[in-house]
Amino acid sequence: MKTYSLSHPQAVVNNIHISSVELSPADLLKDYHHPEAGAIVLFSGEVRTDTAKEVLYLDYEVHTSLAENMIHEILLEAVAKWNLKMALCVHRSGKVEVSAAAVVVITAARHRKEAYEANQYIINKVKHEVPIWKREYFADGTNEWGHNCSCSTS
Amino acid sequence: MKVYVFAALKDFMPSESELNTSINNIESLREVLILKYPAAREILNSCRFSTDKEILSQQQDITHYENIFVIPPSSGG
Repeated sequence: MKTYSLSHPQAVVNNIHISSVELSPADLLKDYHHPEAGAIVLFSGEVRTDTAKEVLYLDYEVHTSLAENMIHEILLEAVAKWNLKMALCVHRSGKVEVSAAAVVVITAARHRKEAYEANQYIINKVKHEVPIWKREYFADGTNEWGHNCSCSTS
Repeated sequence: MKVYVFAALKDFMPSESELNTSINNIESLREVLILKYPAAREILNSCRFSTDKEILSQQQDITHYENIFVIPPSSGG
């Protein structure tokens, strides 16, 4: 999983960003410790249901080759901007059940400010720009494509 | 030229199709698709276009491109 990026030889950036199999945030975190990083931030974006309309699961469609490239570029950009020691982002494709992780972002930096800021930057860019689409499947038998994210911080 | 579409666009057109019309750039391709699938006009107007590896600019010359992907607004995360 860990490889050294040529652009930032001292930073570790993961190479596979789209996964069709279940993500384990805890397992991913095991590999993301660095002797020069005093702060590790892990964000797990998880599928949630809604009291107004019960969600059974989401199904993610991905333009995989482009998404892989774009996420990698976003990570390298964040590494350079916040001088990260490590950065990871993996997003699911296919069916994801409620409470399962749809996306995981890990950032490691010398201090927490950089690790937090970089983590938010990465997830915001991934949500807004990377070609990934969710279809929501509801308990009442209906389904619909998720609305595009117009948020900036959620 | 083969055109691939994703997500909500598949409610309006096939997920892949062959266009024989001579198309020079992305803006022309968008116009051709809107003429062919007028019900998808709104979503097509908010789409980006790409190859398998990179996003293309509106004026990108695509005369010799074999595959173009139409990218609706993202809803990942």
